Amino acid sequence: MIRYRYRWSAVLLVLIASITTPMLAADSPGWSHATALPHEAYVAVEISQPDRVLQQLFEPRVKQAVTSHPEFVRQRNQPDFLQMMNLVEYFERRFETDLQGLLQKLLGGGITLGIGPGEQVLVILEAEDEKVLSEVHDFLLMIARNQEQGQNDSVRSAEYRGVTGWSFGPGQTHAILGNRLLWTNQPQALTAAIDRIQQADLPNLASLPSYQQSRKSSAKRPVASVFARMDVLKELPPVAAALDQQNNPLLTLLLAPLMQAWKQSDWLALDLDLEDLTLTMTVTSDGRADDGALPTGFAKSTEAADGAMPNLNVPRQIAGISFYRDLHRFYAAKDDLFPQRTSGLIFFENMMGIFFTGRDLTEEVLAELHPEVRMVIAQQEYPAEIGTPDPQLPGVALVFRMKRPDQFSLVAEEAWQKALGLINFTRGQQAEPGLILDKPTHAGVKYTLAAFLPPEKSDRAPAETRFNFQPALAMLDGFLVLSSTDALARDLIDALQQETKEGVVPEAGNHSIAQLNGSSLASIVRANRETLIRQNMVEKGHSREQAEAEIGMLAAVVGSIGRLQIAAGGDRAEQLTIELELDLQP
Amino acid sequence: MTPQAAWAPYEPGPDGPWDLPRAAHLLRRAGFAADWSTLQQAIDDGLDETIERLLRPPGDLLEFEATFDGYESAAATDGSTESIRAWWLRRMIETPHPLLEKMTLFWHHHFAISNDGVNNARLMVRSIHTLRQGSLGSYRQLLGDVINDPALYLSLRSDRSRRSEPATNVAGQLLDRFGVGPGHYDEHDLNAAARALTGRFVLRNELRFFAHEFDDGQKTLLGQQGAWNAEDAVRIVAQHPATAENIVRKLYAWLVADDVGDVQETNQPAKQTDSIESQVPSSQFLEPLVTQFHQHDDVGVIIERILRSRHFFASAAYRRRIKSPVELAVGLARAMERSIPTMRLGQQLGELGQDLYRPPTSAGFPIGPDWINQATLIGRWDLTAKMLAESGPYEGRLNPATLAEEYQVDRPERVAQWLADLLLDGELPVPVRQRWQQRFTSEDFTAASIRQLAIELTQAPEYQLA
Repeated sequence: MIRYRYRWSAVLLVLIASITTPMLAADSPGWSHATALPHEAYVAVEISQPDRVLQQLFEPRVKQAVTSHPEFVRQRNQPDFLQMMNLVEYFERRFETDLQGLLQKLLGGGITLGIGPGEQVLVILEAEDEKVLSEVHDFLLMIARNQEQGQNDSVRSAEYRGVTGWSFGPGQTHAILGNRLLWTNQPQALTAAIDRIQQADLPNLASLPSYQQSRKSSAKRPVASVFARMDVLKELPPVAAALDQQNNPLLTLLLAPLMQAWKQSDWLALDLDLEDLTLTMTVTSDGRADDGALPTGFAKSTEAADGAMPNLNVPRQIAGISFYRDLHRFYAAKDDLFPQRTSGLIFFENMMGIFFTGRDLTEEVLAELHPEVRMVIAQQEYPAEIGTPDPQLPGVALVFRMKRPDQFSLVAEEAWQKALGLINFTRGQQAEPGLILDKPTHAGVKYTLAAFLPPEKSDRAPAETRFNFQPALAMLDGFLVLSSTDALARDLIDALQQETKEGVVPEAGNHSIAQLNGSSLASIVRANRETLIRQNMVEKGHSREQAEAEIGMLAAVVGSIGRLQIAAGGDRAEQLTIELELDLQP
Repeated sequence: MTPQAAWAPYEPGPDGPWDLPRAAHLLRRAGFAADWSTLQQAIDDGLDETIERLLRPPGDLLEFEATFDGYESAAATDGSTESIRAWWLRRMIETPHPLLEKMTLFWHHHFAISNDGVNNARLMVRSIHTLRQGSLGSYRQLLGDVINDPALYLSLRSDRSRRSEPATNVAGQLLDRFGVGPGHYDEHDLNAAARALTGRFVLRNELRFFAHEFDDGQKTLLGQQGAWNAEDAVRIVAQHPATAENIVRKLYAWLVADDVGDVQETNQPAKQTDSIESQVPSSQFLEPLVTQFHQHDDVGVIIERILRSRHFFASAAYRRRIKSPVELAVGLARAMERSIPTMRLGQQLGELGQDLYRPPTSAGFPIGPDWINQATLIGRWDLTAKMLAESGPYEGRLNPATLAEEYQVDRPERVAQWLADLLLDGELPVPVRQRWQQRFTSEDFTAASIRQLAIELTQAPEYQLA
């Protein structure tokens, strides 16, 4: 019975294809995907070189990493998965190829997705082999008709300008035009797309100047690209809120240069390239954050050679972030940047007033620092006498550079000791143990360390969260290091001495640089696995098994990140470059 | 009905059969609410076996308790009550011994130790663990354990009680709330109890005793004279007959009825939500329970007697309690047989007035009619609607459509009646039935419709009652 239906469907489709294809080919030779998308589309995703994506996905080490993953092994035995694999095997035999070859034949011409007003979605798949597309469609049609037996007819078709449109159920409709499949969630979007394909003079995305400009800005033909119309997206409340960080001084400090550029832009383009398991993403836009007169100009370097310093490297490093930020200028513009004086801001200023003995935070504290801010995050190792805290938090350190270390170092030391005194006083009020201050020396540098006494033996496993912290302040060669752990402070003293010796210079043009070491991050995920599972259970309501699977997946994903490098600058076209190197060693 | 007859064992018969409303009533009061298979099992097994299972559930309870003790201890290391609150709620949802958790919650309300004063998650977990361990045993033992709990002193801001300046807060709670109750003690007793508790200091979260700060003079406490210390004070208070009545009265309000006592009753469970009359059970009515409790000092035995009694299954008890927010939410999750994000739930329950580990006053949480006013009723509707929504803070984890499918309940009318059986003891409210009648036959009675129907059932007045 199935075979019978299949034959008839195949005949029908072949017939349709034979009628429509020559007509379309005659009417619209070589139309590009973007010409089929509406000019109102505000997001377009184009995978123009699927062959390169498939090539990377089917690399032996990727296949090995995926198929050996416990979650894949678990899914492999599920009925749905088995059914899908049977289908794949059928087509592999039918077209005498493997899965990669099959996908190449089916999608090799490219994939495009457009999102427009009214949640309209249009997807275009271009097959390398028209016959494969036709037969797969035929097969899906047969399945849809089999499933509906005894029910109302949910498979429907209609003709429009010589093209047959199909619907297998509510909320989706599609048509095949030669070797291309058009799929959309709204029927009128399909007819409009057919209109655009058959009448090249109708407005479409490719005819938009901003789209053309974004394509020109691409240095080379990317594997995939995303085009976003910021003039439209900025009107959406969530996007507007994301671009407006006025209530959060920290986010303003970190992201204002990029947000400023994107707020001024009409379009934003993201190009993706994939080479040897390294994914490179480049964001360009027509907006610029290079106006030093703006309140957000605190990230704008005054000299051409200035920029964020290269990231520091320490053992067990998880991440390093480096910014070019004029903190004095940032805080002087606070009334413009975040006009609301929140209780948090008032508290911060009051505390700074106490720590810095009444000095003006803008003019007498932040003005003493060079526009270099670096943050280092590293995994911790715990001494045996402390035990392992639960959760295990990474060490975090901030590195600044003082303009007049002779004058300012004592001011900083006094503020630091006052802060520790306040912490100890507050903890004492709650009958909690306090920090013991010490002045150890490392590599010739005497620094200030505060640490809790080791826990009593009976109280050792697991150690309390407080044992993640041994706050330290170190000052050397004009640098000021604030670290949450002793080990990180010592490692940074070594790294900074090395940097001074080597005479490292800033990365001109970049106002922000970040790097992430996937293996260290995965290691800390594994170390906190039990904590994360527990958290997942109460935050998501998952069973222990579900939580274990989700955290296992997270560890696998994080573990597959070899290295992530992000660089952002305001003066150049490529405002943000993200380079992700995958590590798929089993 | 005489007190003896009221507290005599209930015998199912033609006038009062062992049926779904009675089984559901028992499982709600002795726990939170039953899932469908537990409800069916209770109906099939009968009252005796069901009560036996409630009091002494089969299976490896120790393993469950040890697992959750581990989760709570680990959650306490970060010092916040949000995590431990979430784990306790999770425990209530998943426990194979719901009566134990229901009574732990009762003692939490009774002793009212709040983290607002304690400010230490580990101490709070230990404190609730103490309550759980003693929740179905000797009250005298439990009271003794609580009096030695440093969290009690921190909660009452009485972490130092010196001979020259006895702290009266703990003594006041011991007499007024934990013991004989108002009207059974005077200022002399309060001073004597406070003097008996001198020398007790909480230092670095541990209860310490300093002999030089203890007032070892003669004291007269509740008519008994001696050089009493803390242990003596606890013994004297716990053994006093008025204490037995105070505790029995609270157990009655927790398990039987908010404010209704020896009113006219029938063997039929009430079918409508009658107005709740402001009557408290008389001492005479409670006398059989009080005598038994005073003599044997066994909470579990009194609970068993209450749960087996004719009075418990009569109209005077049926739907005569308003569910607390915790009972409302945990009961729904248990009925739907899924756990939910309890971190969020704990927060929402706090907004409704039942912030676990943080009773609002030293008198515990509100109880009975105090749970419902215009604002909280909307909040309660919002809570159950969110819990049953397809998406949102509870991530659609409670899914009545899937559950109906698991129990092979298929046709729309059957699904509606089945949900009414599960959530409302079989009563499908007329307005709901009328509203849904048309949709039962239409094609758009989907999984989303079943969710909506369940939400409407949880918003029925009857669902607010335990």
